[in-house]
Amino acid sequence: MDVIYLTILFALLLATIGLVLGIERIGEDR
Amino acid sequence: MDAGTRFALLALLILGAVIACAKPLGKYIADVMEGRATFASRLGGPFERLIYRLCGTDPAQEMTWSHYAIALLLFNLLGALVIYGLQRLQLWLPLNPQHLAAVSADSAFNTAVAFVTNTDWQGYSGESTMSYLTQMAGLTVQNYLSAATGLSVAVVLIRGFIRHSTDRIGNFWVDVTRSSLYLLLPLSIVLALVLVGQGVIQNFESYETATTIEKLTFDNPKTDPDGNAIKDDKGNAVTESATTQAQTLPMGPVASQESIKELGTNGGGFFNANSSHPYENPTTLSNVLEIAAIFLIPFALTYTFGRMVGDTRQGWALMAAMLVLFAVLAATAFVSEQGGNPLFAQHGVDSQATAMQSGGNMEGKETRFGIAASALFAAATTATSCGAVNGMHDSMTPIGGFVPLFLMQLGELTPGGVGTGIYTILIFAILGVFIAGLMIGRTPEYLGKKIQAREMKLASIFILTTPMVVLVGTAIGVVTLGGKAGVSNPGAHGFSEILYGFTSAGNNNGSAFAGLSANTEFYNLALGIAMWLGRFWPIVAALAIGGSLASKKRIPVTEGTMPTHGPLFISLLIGTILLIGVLNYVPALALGPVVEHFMLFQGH
Repeated sequence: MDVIYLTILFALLLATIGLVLGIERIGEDR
Repeated sequence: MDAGTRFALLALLILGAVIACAKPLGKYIADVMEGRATFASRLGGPFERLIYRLCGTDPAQEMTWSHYAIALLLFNLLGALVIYGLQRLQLWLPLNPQHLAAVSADSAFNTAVAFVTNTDWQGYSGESTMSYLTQMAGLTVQNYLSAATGLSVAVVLIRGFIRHSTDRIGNFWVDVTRSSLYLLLPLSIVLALVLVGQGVIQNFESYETATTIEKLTFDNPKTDPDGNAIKDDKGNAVTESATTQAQTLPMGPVASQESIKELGTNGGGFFNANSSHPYENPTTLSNVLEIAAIFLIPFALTYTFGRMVGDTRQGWALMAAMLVLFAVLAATAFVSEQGGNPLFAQHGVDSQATAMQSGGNMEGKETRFGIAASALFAAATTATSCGAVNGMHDSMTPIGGFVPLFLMQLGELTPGGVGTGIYTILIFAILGVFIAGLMIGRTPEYLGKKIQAREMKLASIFILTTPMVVLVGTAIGVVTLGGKAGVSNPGAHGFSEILYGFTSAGNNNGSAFAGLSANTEFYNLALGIAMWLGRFWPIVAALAIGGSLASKKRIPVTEGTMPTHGPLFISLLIGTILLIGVLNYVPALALGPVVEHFMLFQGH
């Protein structure tokens, strides 16, 4: 069970880091 | 003095005291976060530098927004792993005089996410689940660090307005260290000592046993040799009838957790009954202090914002919008609770307030607090991201229960949690000036920064993530067996229980409609995911907005610039907040508390 929940925790982290990287691709305005 | 006057005076007393503290405390927070010397920093400076040295951090090195975001995420992941490990290993660790068993994996996951996200949702009962070590080294520590994380994000967004033409927005390790060391820790020590003076306990004793006068017969959950509850095929706890004259009085280091629970707008109680437990909140004065502590930092941060951007009127304007929304909704909760249950009159029950009785709806409320202090606490705890309770929200009238639900759904910005409140209302302010810009045909700007497509895309991510988490989660909850199994009151109230659960988790509040049995694999997992996404996705968007604003040039104020410190802007901001809240949640609210209200007054 520990493996399952720790995997979910890391998956949530990776999804959020994915959001960071995705936002960096949104174009800059000047 | 009638009940309404008592409520008004109590609210004025607490809000008046908090607003009076906003300027000195707000200035102090600005000094701390901008690295100016304070009494605390002179005292704690060597310790602060030691922390940087031990962590290998160069405090002078600033980060880009994405570097800051990843540091924040990794720091919080580490916190979650520590809490998870402490819970799973507590049986073999010290400070566990009751020999409490290891917490189940699903509950440990839920609690770990709950405490790093500042939600402090508690599917478990503290006194029968958590060792003193888990409570102190896990939960209490995260009460500080999650509040410091929120404060750091707020400061980054404010820096976005102050700085220009740079991609550097601060150093996460410095921000989180300074806010913990110089703000949260000193305030918490003072409040903990005051609470001890009021009777809140602080010890490491084993639980005490008292002998009661009457015998008590009750259903006792069966446990296996490891102390875990035995469940039947349907997942319900197996119980056996028992009789006793012994009452167990739980002990523990409560005051040290209680103070940061309120000041950090965390809300996770040492005991299951939270601030309705006499060892957490014993007196009328402790109750007033706890409400004031919930409000203290979030309101002060409006002044911090004004001071940091060099125009304190900007901060007062945000505070005014927060106060208007809070006052209207808190008064609504009180009127509904004091009005009571209309069905009582049909059974000849006198629900009128007199000198001899409080009247109204006293179900689920402590007699030592009464309706005014309970309604005010319920509004305060959901207007912030606190989630502590001094009464059971599930027992409130439909409209009384609607108020905490709606306060959370507005985004918890009246005044919101530590840091989260100010950064949430700032993003609504950005949205407000954008809407105003569209109406008058000018490029929107706020505090000298143009609000353009990138900021609006990020604001959309910020604003829409939480409703998506709440509404999709609720929809899954009402159509799955696992979701429906936790509901104790089927029908409109049961829907409200699920909606409240996901609203509380998605908005990182942590309070609960107690009718929902949430310590199940379904809710531990679903609410855990909701808490994580509801916390960190908006934080990433807020940091990105801060980074985006900091990279822009400042534009001068002209005659065409809309003033953002006057009544027009305050009205626009309130309108924007209400519009977004209503559009997102009215259909769901109509199925829950609104239906329940009409059913009640139809005599059902």
